[in-house]
Amino acid sequence: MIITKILITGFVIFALSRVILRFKEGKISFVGLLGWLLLWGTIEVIVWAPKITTDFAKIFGIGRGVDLIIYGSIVSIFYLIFRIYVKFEDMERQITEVVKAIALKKVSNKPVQKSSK
Amino acid sequence: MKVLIIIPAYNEQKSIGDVLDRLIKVRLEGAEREIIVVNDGSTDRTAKEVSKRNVPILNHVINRGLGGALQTGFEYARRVKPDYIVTIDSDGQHNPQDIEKLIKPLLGGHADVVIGSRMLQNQKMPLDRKIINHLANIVTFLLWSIWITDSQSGLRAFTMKAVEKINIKTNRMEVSSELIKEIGKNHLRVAEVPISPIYTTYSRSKGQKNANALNILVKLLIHKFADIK
Repeated sequence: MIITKILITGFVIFALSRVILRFKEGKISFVGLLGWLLLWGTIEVIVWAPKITTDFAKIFGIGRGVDLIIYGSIVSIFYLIFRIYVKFEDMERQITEVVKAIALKKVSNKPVQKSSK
Repeated sequence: MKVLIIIPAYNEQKSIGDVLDRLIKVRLEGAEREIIVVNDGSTDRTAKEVSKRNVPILNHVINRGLGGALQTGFEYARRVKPDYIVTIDSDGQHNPQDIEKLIKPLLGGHADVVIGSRMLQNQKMPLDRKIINHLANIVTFLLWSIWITDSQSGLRAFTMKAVEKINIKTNRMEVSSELIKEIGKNHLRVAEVPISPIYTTYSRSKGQKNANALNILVKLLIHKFADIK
């Protein structure tokens, strides 16, 4: 078990170093930096003191810490799917804007030339 | 007075020729009439059928759906500035003679938008289509608080003033409900007139697929609750 914990810690340190590097390069904002620090920090705490999740779960009326993590994950995944769907919809609309602009450049009574496959 | 008739078309080689022939014959009293086809990335002979009849065409390089085609048609209208704009399906289910009935309330100044309703008189609409249409009306009402007896109808007429205000964002079939939203948002006066659709096996196969209803519902919910630019 201790080996797993050390491996995860190593990965967390690596991830955090990348986050800090990105922040220094100005590729992520300060709020973004805080968000990542909080996420990886929480993972580190859970790895070394898993009992904390059970105490935390009890606040929400859930018996086990692992259940709280699963419920939280499901909610987060649903939210992420929603965000991706919105982003996808946004891109679809931008594509239409381009197609519309091309179409309106030329009103013709001739069919559009299709490139051969 | 000028009336612009917008026909969105996607792979309609079998019907577009007949629709145009019937439209060209329609005479609107005292009105100059312009027809424009928005060829929505068709891969068949749709565009050839249109150019054979010397009707102007706006070509989408790829398929964007009914909403995309209407966006292009409306933008074209904003450039040529007709007095009235009519949209009609290209699958042959609408009777072009109904256009005169449709623009009457606009001419009289009683409405800004007129929707040709297939539900106002006893129609031989297939039962499954009837149910889907009713559900679409209910969803449209729940989302935008406007009751329209045929929210999914493709035969509509608008004043230029209304088209200037309407801002369509959705790409596909959900545009029909979005138009109702825009009517409400812009406080446009809406009227409905009964129309007689022609249901053929072809027009049925080309219309909205029943299974597509859920997808449309999801997109409408996204449109309602997510602020997409």
